[in-house]
Amino acid sequence: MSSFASDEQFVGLIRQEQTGTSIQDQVTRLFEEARDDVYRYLLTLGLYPPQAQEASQEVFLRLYATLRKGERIQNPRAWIFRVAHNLGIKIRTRQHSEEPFNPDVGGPSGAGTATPESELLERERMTRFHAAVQGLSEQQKRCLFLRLEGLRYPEIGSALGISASSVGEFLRRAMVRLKKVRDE
Amino acid sequence: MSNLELRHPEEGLLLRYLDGELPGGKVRQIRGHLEACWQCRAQLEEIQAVVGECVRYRNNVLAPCLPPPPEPWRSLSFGLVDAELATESFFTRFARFLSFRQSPGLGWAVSAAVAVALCYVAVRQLRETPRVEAAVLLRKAEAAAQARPAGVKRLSIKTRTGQITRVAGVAYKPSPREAEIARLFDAAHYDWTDPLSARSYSSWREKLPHFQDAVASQPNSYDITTTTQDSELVSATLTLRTTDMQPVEGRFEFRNSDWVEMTELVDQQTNPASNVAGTTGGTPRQPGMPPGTLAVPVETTADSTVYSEELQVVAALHRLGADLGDPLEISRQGRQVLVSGTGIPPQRQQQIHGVLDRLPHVVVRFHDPAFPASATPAQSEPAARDAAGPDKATYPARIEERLGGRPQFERFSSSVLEWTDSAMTRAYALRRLAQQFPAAAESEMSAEDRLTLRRLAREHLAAFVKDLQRVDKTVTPVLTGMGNYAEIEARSESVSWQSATEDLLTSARRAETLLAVVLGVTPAENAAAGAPAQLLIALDQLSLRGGECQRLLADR
Repeated sequence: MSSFASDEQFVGLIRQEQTGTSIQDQVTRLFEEARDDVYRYLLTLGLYPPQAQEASQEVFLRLYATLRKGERIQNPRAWIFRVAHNLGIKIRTRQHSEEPFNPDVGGPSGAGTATPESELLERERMTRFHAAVQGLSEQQKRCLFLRLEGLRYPEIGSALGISASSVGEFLRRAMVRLKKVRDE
Repeated sequence: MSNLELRHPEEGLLLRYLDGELPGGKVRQIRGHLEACWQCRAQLEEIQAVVGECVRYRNNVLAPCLPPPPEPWRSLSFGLVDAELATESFFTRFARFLSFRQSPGLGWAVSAAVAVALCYVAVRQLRETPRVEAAVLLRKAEAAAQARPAGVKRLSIKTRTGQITRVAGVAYKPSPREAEIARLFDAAHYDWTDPLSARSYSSWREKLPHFQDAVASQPNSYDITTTTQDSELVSATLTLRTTDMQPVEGRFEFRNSDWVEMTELVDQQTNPASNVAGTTGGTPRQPGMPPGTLAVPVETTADSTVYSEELQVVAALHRLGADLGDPLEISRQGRQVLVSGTGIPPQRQQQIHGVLDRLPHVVVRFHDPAFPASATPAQSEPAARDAAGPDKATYPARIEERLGGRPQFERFSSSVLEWTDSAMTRAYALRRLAQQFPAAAESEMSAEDRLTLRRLAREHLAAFVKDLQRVDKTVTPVLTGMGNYAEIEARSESVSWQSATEDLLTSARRAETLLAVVLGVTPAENAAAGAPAQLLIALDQLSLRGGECQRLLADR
């Protein structure tokens, strides 16, 4: 029985291209779901929009290559952000002579707010909040943004090369600072 | 009731509780405490409110305010990945297969089956090699083309009945003869917009139901030939220059026995090869080209004024640090030196205008990005294939142990990576300079220009050596003793600093790759055992190469 199973596995190895189609479907689906999030995350790392878009495509191609090699990925979203983070940092460090991309994030568009007054208040509040986020340390920001993308502490730790408990500590400090802004 | 239930849990613990990051026992304790404690429940709600604020910030501020992707999303090019994977040796794939699916009970029967299958795969692999090789070469050529700023390309097109010159990449009314040639290509579904490009060639080739490839490796180029019976174009050959994968010649044979040959023309004044910052540019413009096929003679007049003007441009950019990876191209356009750049931020554009506008015969043009503005050069080393390798922790863990902890390792790693990146930027800049002003060009220069050129090269080299020494001093004490350290290879004897920079860059790339493995940035899947020792050797080698360059760059 075991030898039969092994034969089957081996045939699977030499006919990888047949299974490639279903992997392609999976990766395409993930790409459509998460590409904008990855792109946005790379912008927050300081990549310029064309670089961020190209790097986003590259991340999903790496996912495909990894799956085609037969590796198992427990949580593809976490894997995607981990690779995106590493790739983004690498691109940034290669271009250290260039200023990092720093978008002008002025405040919310105001859509959905009830009155001009509340819109103004909301805008002011979010502008303060944005300033507070910008004032966080680099690690706190990275932890916060990755947590916002749905990554768990060990996954964030793996992306940033730190322990899960350090992630918890960075997040705690970030929350304390953001809470102060909220309470002002 | 436990102590925890009596004491108020800290904020961090509450956050971890909310995030589901606590073990079951602690979760129960905190839940019990929260049921009893209004104060902590209120605190929990506050944390939850900040979480909500963060989500609103992401959705209402970041998402709408960040710029959208500059281009519509392209479909993922799975075919290219497949082609790359297919080029892996069978043994690599087999080893991976075993590593993932080890089963101890393989008997003789299975071994026999494996042997048969091995033969089958080996034969299949051999049969498919040219196709795979062609696909990989085309992919690399496409990637290299993407990393180059878009520019106007002049093509000399020769047919059975005559010869024309065509400008690719700009809109204009074609001559009747050109329209006739264009119809041939259109009928074959081959993109005539930019026919001498890897993208057009690949696009035509990938649409063919059946075809055969042949790849011939020439001293300076690769010739890819695709033949088919399923297209009006029955045979096409694309010649890619080895140094930068740029298509330099194409031959197309049609079913009706017509044929078309095309070569890229270089402006007669463009003796120094046009050079693209950040890409692996290359030597003469048309290597390995049969002289008869060129409409413009390869041999160009040596004109020291040409070098002088280009050198002034390079020196001006150097003062700005714009020769360190900014996506700029310097080329000749008639009497003028054309500096073009794509995706340069407005502030940077102003700075570049500021230093170049005052120079005579220099035209500066910037374009909106039609592709990644600062795409890194296409590189085949695995440094960027990061993240998921099982060996990732081996070397870092050992280094961490030697350094005394994770924070120390992180500081060590980030400093070393920063210096390495800085050194690599200099190595690329130095090589670009060498390519733009090869030894033959330097000998035509005035004494003053030669001094300027060497000063620029020496500055890059000095910065490189400084970064290298920092890496060396930091890495060597930590890695010594982590493997057998062998004597380094004998130094190469370069005849000019220009050729020595090529060796320098090759050694630097090797050291960078090994460093990435040792620091766990790259999985060590393809690295031989003993990467730390190999890295020390590579650093020594690099040091020698740096010394060699310094010697050759010394004033004569």
